Amino acid sequence: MDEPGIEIDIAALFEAEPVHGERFSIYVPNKDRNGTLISQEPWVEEALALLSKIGGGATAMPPVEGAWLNEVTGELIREQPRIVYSYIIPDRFLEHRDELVGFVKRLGRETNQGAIAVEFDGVLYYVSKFREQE
Amino acid sequence: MPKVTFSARSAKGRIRDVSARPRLGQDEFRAAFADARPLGRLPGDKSDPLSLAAIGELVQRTLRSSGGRPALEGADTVPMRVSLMHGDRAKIEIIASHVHPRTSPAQMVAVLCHLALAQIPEDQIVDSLSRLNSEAGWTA
Repeated sequence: MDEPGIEIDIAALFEAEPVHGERFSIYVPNKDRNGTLISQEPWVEEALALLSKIGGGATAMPPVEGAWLNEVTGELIREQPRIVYSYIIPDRFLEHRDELVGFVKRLGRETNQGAIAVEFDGVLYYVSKFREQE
Repeated sequence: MPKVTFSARSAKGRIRDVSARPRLGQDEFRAAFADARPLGRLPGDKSDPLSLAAIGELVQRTLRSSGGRPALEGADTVPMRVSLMHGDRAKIEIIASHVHPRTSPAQMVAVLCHLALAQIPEDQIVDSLSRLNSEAGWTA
């Protein structure tokens, strides 16, 4: 038999103001589309600063093991991306969206990526068009 | 080979946060990131409408019995005959026989179809298909 669910107002419980919405993450790669190492740290720093603007703060996870299949060459690229995320404040997200989109495209373009993965509220997206006007 | 039945239940999901959190929503996000290609829900995310957990929840919510064979609430009384793609019938029968309460394969097809279609906003069908047809160079 199903047990009844329990509804709790977490914000009220901790006397916190519920200003944050969904989680937004950027997967910052450490290799390019051909498996060549790139300088990851400056991009992590920039992502932290940018996501802090839209969420009031941000978190960078330590490097994790990842793999990406280059469908053009068929090569499996093993890499160690870092996930930088923030729980967004919706109004600030919209206010900085051009800067955010520009950052992701620049990250892909300048580090020669096949795609940049971003995640919004549990949905994974690939951004693979890196030119500003695309 | 003996059948394995998982009987333990997780308490995960019992507590629901009802704080009035502001939300941006996927539509607004996609408008901002127009070039982002969604790859679907992340593994293990039970909010995926087509996850087995979601199928079970919908069956529990809609299967009603008034004495005879349980029927899906809201289902058409006039059935539609469909031919399934190769291999799908077996999957449907397995899912139908393991979901509680038990459903017929035909009812499971209705549930799966409903969950899949629920992801397509009705007011966007014509616009989206027109755009895709136009991009592909097809005219009506």
